Amino acid sequence: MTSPISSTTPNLTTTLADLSKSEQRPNVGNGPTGLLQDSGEKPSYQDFLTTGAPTGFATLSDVFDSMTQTVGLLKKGIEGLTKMSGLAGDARGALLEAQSSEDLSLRGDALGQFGQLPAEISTIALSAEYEGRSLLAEVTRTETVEATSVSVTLVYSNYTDLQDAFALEAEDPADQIDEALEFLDAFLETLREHKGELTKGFEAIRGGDGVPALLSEIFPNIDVDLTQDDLEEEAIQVLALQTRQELAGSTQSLTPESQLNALRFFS
Amino acid sequence: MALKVELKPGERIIIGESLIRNDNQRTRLFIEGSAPILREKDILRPDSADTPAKRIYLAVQLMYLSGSIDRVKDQYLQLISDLIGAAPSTTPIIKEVSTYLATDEFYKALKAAKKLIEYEGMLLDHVQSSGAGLPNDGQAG
Repeated sequence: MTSPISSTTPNLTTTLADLSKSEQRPNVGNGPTGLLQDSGEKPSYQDFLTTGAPTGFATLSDVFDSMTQTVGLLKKGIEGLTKMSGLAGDARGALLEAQSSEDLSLRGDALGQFGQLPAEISTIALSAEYEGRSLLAEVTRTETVEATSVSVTLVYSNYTDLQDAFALEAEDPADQIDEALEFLDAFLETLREHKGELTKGFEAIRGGDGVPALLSEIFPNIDVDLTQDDLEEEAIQVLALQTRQELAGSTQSLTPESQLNALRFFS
Repeated sequence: MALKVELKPGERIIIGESLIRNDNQRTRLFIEGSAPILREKDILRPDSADTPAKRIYLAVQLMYLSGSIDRVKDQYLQLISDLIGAAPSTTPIIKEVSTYLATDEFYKALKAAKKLIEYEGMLLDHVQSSGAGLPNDGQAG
């Protein structure tokens, strides 16, 4: 869903779509937005106004939607892997304690905790939060973040059958503990690797070629020398906008949302 | 790693969906987890959002507290569209705010929005110091 955009300043009705039409494109040199003059001089404030400020916010809305979905999925994946690591780590701690103890019930409890891991981890891996993806399916998936140069490769582990993976071959409890510990060390390392991959993907999206590059198309890097008159003109426009927003109740439109969180304690 | 926060006597802080009010002594809190945290000095009440930049800050604050841009995304887009229309020189800061919002870095977006308020204040100071105001015909823009 795109946001309805209405320019409240008469001069600034040019959208990015309009700028792409050749008859409206000013005769300017190459720059991120074509607003830099061939002479290499910085455009004046008035040039900036007449050639149009970035008003293509319908596109920004799409960026938000796309990024929210992708970034959100990555974050949830990282959180899920962290939860799994927590469970596996706790079980490992219990096994280590049991390994050095002669207490048979302690050993039994530790092995029981290990035995519950497949079900607990499976619940996390198949959570609806991951939108049909399993954190532990044997899949290598490449997600390309739309309209950026960032490809995020999501690599999942090979534990398609957790019960089989966690099954212990040893019969003696002491040997089972050793076997379980060895397995958990490898499992935790796998989770760490996958978390690292998701984190790298996350950082790539946040990095220069990801969202910042995408938003540079929507918010062009305008290098404008503002004169004192320009600043005063902007200030006047801001004051006028302030009045229009007050009359339109712009803050009131946000008030209902502020009642849904702790800000309500400040009303 | 826990975040250390020191509260002055009587100071309030929002943590998640709760408001914590300190008693009459300085207190040190160690906060772990990912719940949003807002100290009283960083909280903008809706009735105090009386300028375009403050309204944008309020929108970003709401996103931070809810952990999502969805609910106020449209209002945010309209507010930044209006402010850039009025003052194009705010574009770089608004781009910074929007970049952080797009990548789920809400607290950084809030800090950038605070810069926007400061910049707006600087702009408005120009009007006050130069004596400029609305044109004599009373028309805005």
